[in-house]
Amino acid sequence: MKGKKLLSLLMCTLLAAGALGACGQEAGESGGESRNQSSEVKESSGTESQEAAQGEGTNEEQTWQVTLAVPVNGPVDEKNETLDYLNSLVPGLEFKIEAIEIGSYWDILNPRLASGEIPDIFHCHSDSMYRSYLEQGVLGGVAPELIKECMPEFVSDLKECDATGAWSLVLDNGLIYGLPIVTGERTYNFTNGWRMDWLKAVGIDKVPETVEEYEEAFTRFTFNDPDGNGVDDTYGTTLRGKDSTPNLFPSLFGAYGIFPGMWNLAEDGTLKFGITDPRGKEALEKLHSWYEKGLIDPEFISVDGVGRTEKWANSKVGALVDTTYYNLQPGDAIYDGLLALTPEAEVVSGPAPKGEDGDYGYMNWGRYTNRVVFGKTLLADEEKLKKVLQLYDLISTDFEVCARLRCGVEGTHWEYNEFRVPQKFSAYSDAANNGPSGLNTFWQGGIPYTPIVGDLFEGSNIEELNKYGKEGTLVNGENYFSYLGKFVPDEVGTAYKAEADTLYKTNFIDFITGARPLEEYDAFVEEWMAAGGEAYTKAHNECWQNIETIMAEAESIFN
Amino acid sequence: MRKIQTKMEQKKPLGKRLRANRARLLMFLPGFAFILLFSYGPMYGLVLAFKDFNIGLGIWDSPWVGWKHFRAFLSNASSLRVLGNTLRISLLHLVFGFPAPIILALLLNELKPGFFKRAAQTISYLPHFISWIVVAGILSNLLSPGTGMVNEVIKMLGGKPVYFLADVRWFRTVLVVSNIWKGIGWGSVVYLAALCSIPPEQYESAMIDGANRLQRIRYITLPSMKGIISIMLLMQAGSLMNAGFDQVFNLYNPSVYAVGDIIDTYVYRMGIGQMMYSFNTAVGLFKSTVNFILVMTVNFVTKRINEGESVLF
Amino acid sequence: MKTRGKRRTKRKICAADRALIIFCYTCVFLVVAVTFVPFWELAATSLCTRADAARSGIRLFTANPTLDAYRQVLSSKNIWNSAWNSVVRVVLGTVISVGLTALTAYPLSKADFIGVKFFTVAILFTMVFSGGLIPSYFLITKTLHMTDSIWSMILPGAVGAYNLIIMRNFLRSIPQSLEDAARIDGAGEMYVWWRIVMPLSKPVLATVALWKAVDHWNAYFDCLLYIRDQSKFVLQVLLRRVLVEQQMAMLQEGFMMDMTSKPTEATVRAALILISTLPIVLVYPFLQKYFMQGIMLGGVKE
Repeated sequence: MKGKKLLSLLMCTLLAAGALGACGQEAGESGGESRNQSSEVKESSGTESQEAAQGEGTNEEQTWQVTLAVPVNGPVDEKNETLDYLNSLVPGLEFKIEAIEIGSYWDILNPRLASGEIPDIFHCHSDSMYRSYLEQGVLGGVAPELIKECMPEFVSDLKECDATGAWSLVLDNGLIYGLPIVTGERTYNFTNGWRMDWLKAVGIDKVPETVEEYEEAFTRFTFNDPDGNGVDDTYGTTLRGKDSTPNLFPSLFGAYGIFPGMWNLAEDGTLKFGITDPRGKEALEKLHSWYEKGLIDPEFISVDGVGRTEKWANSKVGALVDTTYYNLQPGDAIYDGLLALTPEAEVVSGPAPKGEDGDYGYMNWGRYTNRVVFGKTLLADEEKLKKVLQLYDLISTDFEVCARLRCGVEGTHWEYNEFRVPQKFSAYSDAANNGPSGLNTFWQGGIPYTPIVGDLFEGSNIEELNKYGKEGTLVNGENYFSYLGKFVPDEVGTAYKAEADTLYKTNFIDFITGARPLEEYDAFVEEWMAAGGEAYTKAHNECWQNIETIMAEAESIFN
Repeated sequence: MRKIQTKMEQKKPLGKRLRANRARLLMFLPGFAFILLFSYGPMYGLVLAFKDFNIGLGIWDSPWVGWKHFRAFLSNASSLRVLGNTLRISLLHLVFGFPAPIILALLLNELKPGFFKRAAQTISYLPHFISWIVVAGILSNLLSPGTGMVNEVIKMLGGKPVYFLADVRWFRTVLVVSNIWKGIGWGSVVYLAALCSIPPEQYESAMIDGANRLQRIRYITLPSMKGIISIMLLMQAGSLMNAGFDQVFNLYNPSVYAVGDIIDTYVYRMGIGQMMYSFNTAVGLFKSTVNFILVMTVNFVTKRINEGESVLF
Repeated sequence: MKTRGKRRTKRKICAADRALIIFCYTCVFLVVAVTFVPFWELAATSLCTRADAARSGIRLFTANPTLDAYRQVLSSKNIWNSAWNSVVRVVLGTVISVGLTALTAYPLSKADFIGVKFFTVAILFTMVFSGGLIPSYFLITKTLHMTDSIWSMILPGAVGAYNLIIMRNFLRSIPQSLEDAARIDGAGEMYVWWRIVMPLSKPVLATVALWKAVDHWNAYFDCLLYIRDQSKFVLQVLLRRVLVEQQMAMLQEGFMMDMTSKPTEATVRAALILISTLPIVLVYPFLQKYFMQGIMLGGVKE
């Protein structure tokens, strides 16, 4: 009975509060306030900000607010040292940075764009997104002359690296819609990482080099309790089944002579997509047999890049396949994460597995990667545009400045390692700790640093670090033509993404798990062709035919 | 009665009626404005379905394209798959999920009132109040192939671990079972209420006639639940196009798109992530229209069953 | 139910009945067990040490319980912040919604209210036909500029057709005579509503308020769409990040601990689930009665 009374009392207060709210006093007021706030936020982004800024243009020390959207892998505090530094570089620019979790970057960014809140400048790591932004009128085009005027260093750096063709990534109808991101080397520094301490524990004393040796190591990792905890809880490796099918153990496919997600130049002079090559089936057969034997983490289907490194850090798997050498170096979150939990861990990198025919090699993405693009809002004020371009010229070409933005203060956050490559102190390699310092802001993107700067960051020119990425029978570099995807018409690309690409991804998973028998591989290829693969192939071949013309325009402007 | 009254009201001149209702209108209109703004407002946006939306041009200036997006939807393999999944999952919920609370209500009805019954009810209602996000967390813990309890049991029985949440053969089962898990207790409340209204005399006279419990259930309990069951059944049938967005959205992953992707998740993914705004508005409009037709049909049928009184309106 | 309790005079239970009763108890017990065990298992997992958590096998007890996982969850500033946002949302959202719904439902319950038929149909129509995701999104972000505002989560659903109809049905059942008596004394509509109708409507108000509160507590989708500022996330979105998208970084902010004693992801997730469920488990048994009323009011039309 007592409880009941208490309850009704509670209800009464709740009711009273409800009624009060309805009468409007409290709720009305706070509502009004919030509206004002949100409209202020609105004004400060988008075109209106420029108008506002122009209004007070008589002021000599005019400041422009610049909105920038970047993908990040950890927290970024609203006020941080990196932002302060960025704002100090070019007087008059005040940045408002939208740091978006990289995994949900498009899901968050695109709706904002659609609702008319377009950042002045943003990172764009998807070709199909770039094309649709262009078609949707989201981007702003800048005259090449202005780029040359305001970004002399950037332009000359690209020229020096023989990469003026890269401008065609952002060139449309004679205007420049962003800045291309170009890597220096024509090879990527991919490698397979191994737990040497595990290899030793299971009686293997050299890094596996062939498919059979891989299988043997994986088998022992799975069944011989390499971590000695007495529990059968380890696997050979895990794969990125959730987010990246092209990254689904490409080096194993390399042992069979193809990379499934890449383009190959066939003997008849046309481009063929990797999966249409019957050798893909052999690699899948191998993967399926490993999956059946339990050598591959059964959860790989829902493992993404982050999940994979988590399993590596937690010593669930003994090999981290198709990673980059710097993920296996101190100062990187992946390496430091493992060592923090298992100080005795010993990490080595190794070559891609050799197949029976002697084929081997790591995949390559090509040197043209992503873009940093201009929102159409950036064009509203020429003064601001010029200053932003000048700033980007500085941060993309000056290694010291770029390092300060990406890695923090030398001696506080990082130091040079033996290869004279910046190496973060272990406290800062974990993105979770970098909120206050703002170090996460530009770690995943946002600065289109030139190949010259990039080499200094990645030590791409240091032979020892890149040997595995460079060796192999599969020719690296432009032969894989992945950059052609950047010039495929939007309709074809979108249609492909919606249908055939999904088909490819889900079927590869199904073939590995056995949900679909590999006898149906040829049928799958036909399905893929019908679902848009054919049109996609045709478009790629057309691009391939015309690539010189496509590049020529940009080259003529910037050479 | 009511009808006659309103007729009489209508005879009065409009101005006078407005004045008489002034206070009530003042009370009514703020709330109604919310409905106009937030429920009818978006209906203006439905024109997008017939346009090719371009962010730069805005809703108004984007070009008209007629039925293009509807045609694309109905001729596109993945959207047909999505439509099929939606119907299939809904039907599975109907076939398996629908009877579960009825059975639980019958079982609970046979229990003696007391601590156990009360506790059983309280505990079985609980999952209803937990969000699907949390349920997804619980399920991924429970069904994990490495350490999940279910797979441990399977291993103990000598089976091979199954990755339920990523296996196309199992994903729909997971949907159906977890839906029952979450909804069975709460769903039974309606039926228990109906059972309470059965006059005890009926049971007593049956007992005097020597009917055992099973017979009493068969001849008294079940027939008296017929009405409520048929109504609930029809109501669920009316929501055939809603296969449970919250559930699927929080449980699915790309490897089970083939069997688990439903209209709502598809619209979300393509619309929000891929910027296919017009196409997705068209899909949404299609869904809404089918839903509308279904509900109207159900309304008509229930009206028939209930002799003129419909459940909905 | 009461009448059945009283009836215990005759105790002639035949074998078939006994079997049936045993069957019923067993089945109900199974349902309860299946509901309960996952929570129990989570509780056991959340208390595991790093080493124990890595061990496979069914975990219903743990030998060396530790509170590390809870310590990590509770030390996360994101958790507290988003929980506070959720509380604000629940309180504000429920108050506004119930107040407005009650106000709107009152005229609607009067048969002689001008245009009542038209209004009712207009309201019911929204139950079966909606503009859909993208038009709603554009309305709220483009037209109303409510991005990043708590109102984007509160106002759009504030007056729902379903609650409105439930409330209207209840108000209809209040005897007209009480209101008439007040009117004779010269009371206005507002006065009648506030002093006479509302006090009599406590059950339905409580019910709708509870429904709304649970809805707001569990809602995430609107936050996902309209809130970009992480400091404004509600708890469910944080939960989604950690439990569904498995982004543990959301919880590790500012959490530096000796890595070897750092709890595993699984134990942290388990602790997080239990902590986030706790408010409902604590409140729910006391309010159960009101929840039930809602079903009675809403499930079947009067």
